[in-house]
Amino acid sequence: MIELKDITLDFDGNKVLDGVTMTVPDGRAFGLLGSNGAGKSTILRLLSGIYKTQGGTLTIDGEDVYDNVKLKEQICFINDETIQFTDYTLKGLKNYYKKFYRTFSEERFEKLHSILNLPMNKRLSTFSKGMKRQAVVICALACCTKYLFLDEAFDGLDPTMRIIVKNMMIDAMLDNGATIILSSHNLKEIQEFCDTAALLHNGKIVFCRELDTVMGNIRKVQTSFSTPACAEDFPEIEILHIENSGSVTNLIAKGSEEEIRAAVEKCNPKFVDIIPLTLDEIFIYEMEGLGYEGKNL
Amino acid sequence: MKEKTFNYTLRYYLFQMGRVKTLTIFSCLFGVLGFPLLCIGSNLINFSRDFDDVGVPMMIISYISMTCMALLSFITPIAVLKHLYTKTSADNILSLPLTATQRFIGDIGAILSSYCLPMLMSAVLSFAGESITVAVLDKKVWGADDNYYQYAFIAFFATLEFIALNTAITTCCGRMAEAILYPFAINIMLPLTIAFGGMIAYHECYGVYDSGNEILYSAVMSMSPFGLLFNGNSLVKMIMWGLIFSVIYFALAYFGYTKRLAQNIGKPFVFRHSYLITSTFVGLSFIVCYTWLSELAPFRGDNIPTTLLTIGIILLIMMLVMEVINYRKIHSLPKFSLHFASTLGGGLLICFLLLLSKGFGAGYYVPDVKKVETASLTGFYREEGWENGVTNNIEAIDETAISLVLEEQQLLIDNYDPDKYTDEQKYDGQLGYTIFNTSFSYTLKDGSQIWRNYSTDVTVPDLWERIFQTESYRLDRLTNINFFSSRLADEAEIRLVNRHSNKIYMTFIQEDLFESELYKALEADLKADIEYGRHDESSVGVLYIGLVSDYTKGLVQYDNFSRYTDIVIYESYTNTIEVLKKHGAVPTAEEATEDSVKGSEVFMLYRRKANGIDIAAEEVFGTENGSSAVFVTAEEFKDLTSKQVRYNKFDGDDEYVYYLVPKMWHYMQNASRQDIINALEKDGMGLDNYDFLEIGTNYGVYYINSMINTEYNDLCASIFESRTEFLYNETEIGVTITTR
Repeated sequence: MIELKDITLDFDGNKVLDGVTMTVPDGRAFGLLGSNGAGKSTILRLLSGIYKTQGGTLTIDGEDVYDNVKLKEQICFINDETIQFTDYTLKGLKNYYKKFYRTFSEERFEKLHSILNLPMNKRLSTFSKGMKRQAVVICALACCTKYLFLDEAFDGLDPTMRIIVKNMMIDAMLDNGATIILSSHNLKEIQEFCDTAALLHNGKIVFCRELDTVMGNIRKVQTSFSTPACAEDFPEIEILHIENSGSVTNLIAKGSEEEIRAAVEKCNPKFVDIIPLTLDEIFIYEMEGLGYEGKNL
Repeated sequence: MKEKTFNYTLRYYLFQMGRVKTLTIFSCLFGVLGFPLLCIGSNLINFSRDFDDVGVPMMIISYISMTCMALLSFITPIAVLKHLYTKTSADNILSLPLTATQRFIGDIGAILSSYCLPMLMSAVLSFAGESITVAVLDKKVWGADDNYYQYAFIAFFATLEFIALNTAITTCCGRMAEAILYPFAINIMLPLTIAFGGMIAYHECYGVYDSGNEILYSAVMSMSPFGLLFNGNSLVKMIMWGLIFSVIYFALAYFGYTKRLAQNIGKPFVFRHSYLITSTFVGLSFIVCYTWLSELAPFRGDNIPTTLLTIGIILLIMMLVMEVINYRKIHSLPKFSLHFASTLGGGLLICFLLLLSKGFGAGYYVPDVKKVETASLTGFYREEGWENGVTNNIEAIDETAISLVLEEQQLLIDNYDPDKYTDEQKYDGQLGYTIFNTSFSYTLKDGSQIWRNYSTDVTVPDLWERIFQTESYRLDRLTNINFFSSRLADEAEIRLVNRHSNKIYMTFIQEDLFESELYKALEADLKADIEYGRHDESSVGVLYIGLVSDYTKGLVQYDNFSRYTDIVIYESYTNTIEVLKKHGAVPTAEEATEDSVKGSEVFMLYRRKANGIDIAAEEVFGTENGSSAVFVTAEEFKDLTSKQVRYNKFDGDDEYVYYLVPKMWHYMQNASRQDIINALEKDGMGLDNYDFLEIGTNYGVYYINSMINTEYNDLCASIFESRTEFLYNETEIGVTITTR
């Protein structure tokens, strides 16, 4: 289990992480969401033992990961770049991971490779961006580590490949009981793959919950009142967004369907229509609530 | 299932070796082509010009290879340590299941294997190449002083230190630009600052100023590989210092490596205050170097304000550049201003304090005899009754001799006159004394070395006489004899110089006829001297044994020895005197009469043009050094001496003037030539007690006491022309040169 308690980290006086607390139980697919510079990659580097924490505690299976070989044997980290591997062939890359991970499975590698069918002896510099990403991911998955941390794992992959890679990761979780943490700007991927997610903004956790809870807790309401409504009209629920367009009022509110319906119906609407939100929409409205919206930037 | 044994350090090392595989191949290639070819090529060329066609291309290839090898010393660490200053590489390497220590060992191991091992291989091959060529060609090559394989070993240890220093600095850097720039800059600036700082401190110390060696040879200079290469210490000492500082730097590198945080990659420096320390060091270093190179202009001279302004402007530009490179802007104007002002003030203060220190008393320091392991003295010795002296030296190893050397140094310090002694040996016509150099060098029991070089006119014959009677002096002579003995047949020349009735006699002794005999006799006499100690008899002559080149062999010049030893022959040296007599040399002053002149006389012929300027002698004689000699028979000599004129100034009409010049400086005895002094004084030259050679130099009246009357020019010319064929080939036993 991964536990971060009140983690702080600053670069040159700028707080990159500020009191981050979250827990990732074993065997989960965990998504890290956040605006650019929110601290997603930094958390992954902390978890991989690349960075050292300045404040708070970070433990994996109860141990500090920094400079801890035994623990790092169980961790594989893939960052969002592939430039460092451009001189390698896929065979060379496989040997690189095989050299350092005693759990590396040749068999698994062959299996994954047979699915993607990438050239083994060509330099990665000749690969497309997506092919490079595939090559790195199959090597990481073949390491069969307990923890797999992927920064922008689906970056550059076409839709078919996304599904294939996703399935590979699911297999890894099922076969090894692996815990996968991935950060992505592609919220649809997170929504489809992860069961838990954390939203980061300016180095702070906005939420860290199971996605079902997250998505079940924010709803879009389309309704109509005789006069334009405002957030103060619904004190029982938290309104993230309200917009009046003619006689129609659109609301984004937190709470269960019943709570929201009850609060809205108190104001005698002409009709009430409650629709679940996509993760993309939740991200946008949550960030808007924190002052991070396109028109402000 | 049995768990696989995983040695992560080894795996990481092999991984890094794989990454720098190409560089390793190049290092091996250039290692083989560099120093080994230099050794073989130089030996081939030294052995015979016939091998130039092979040797010269070898040398060219070796120079190119050594240059490439030097470049690789920068490139290899940068390639291996890439993860210290590149974020993507850091992500890869630092996430691997390795501790910082394992990574450090793997990295250093890879650098050493990729670069230093080929360097070591190169040194070993150089030694082998040199040994083989010497064995195959001739023993003569082996005796050469420039054994290049030694340079290969020095280069290896310097490289080792460079790698260590480079790694230590790189661990502080967070970007590639800094990782390249700062190892290079600090490597050069560190020894320069030490050297120039030391020079400033010693500047006003009598005897120490010329001893920049003391700083250059000091351990502190070895702090950087660049300093190590300039350090003139012995190979063993250089290796020792190189290793000591390498270990220190590797320890610092390890400390930095394990303490650095990856989150600081991308910043110029990963440790706090590194920039402040580095930029301040660069600034202070500049001020120290400028101060010394401008001959202390910030503190002396008429342009102090201008100099300070110049220093301030250059320093400001330097610091601005560093600030912009580091922060991409001026981070904080008040902080920058304070930093600049404190660096400028601090630098000038350091220089001022160094000047004020007066070398921390070095000018008056004479080591305690108990602390001295060996002492060396080279100084001017003028025996009682001799107008001119000789330079003598002693390597003192016994306590008596060491005490005498220390006594001499103390004497010079006690007699120091700042108005009189300058830094250069000179003859001062105005003041009427000759300044010469007296050098001391000590190796202390703690291994450190001290050098002093005094310009003085103080010579203490009595002290020298006591030195001559020490065991060290005798042993020193024996060591020298052995050295020259081994090279006698090829390069050495022996001359016996003695004096009688105010005349100097010089005798060439033909070495190949009785070398073993003479050396055996000398050894016996010197050993007897060591065993039986002191004597109070006077000397009967000085035997000069020197190395000469083929070119200068036989030339009667005082300075044509590349290296020589001089042995004072005392009356008690019966074995030596017997051998000398047996072979016709004149061993004692009393016996050296004109009648003892045998064989051919040596004389030089000079031609002078009417305009009064000496023409280059080679126009006439085909030599390059402005002087030449041919040998004449005893009859011709006697004939020519009868045609000498004692004093003759050049007239404008003279086309040629010939001189009979038996020997250079030491036969010029002004006391015996009062007639010439009188003549010159009469001409209004105001001379008194001058050395004739100096008179000659100053007034164009060379060889004034041995001029051949111009009416015999044709005779001289015909003699000379008849002898050019066998120039230098007529050395005979017992050839004696006399002055008239």
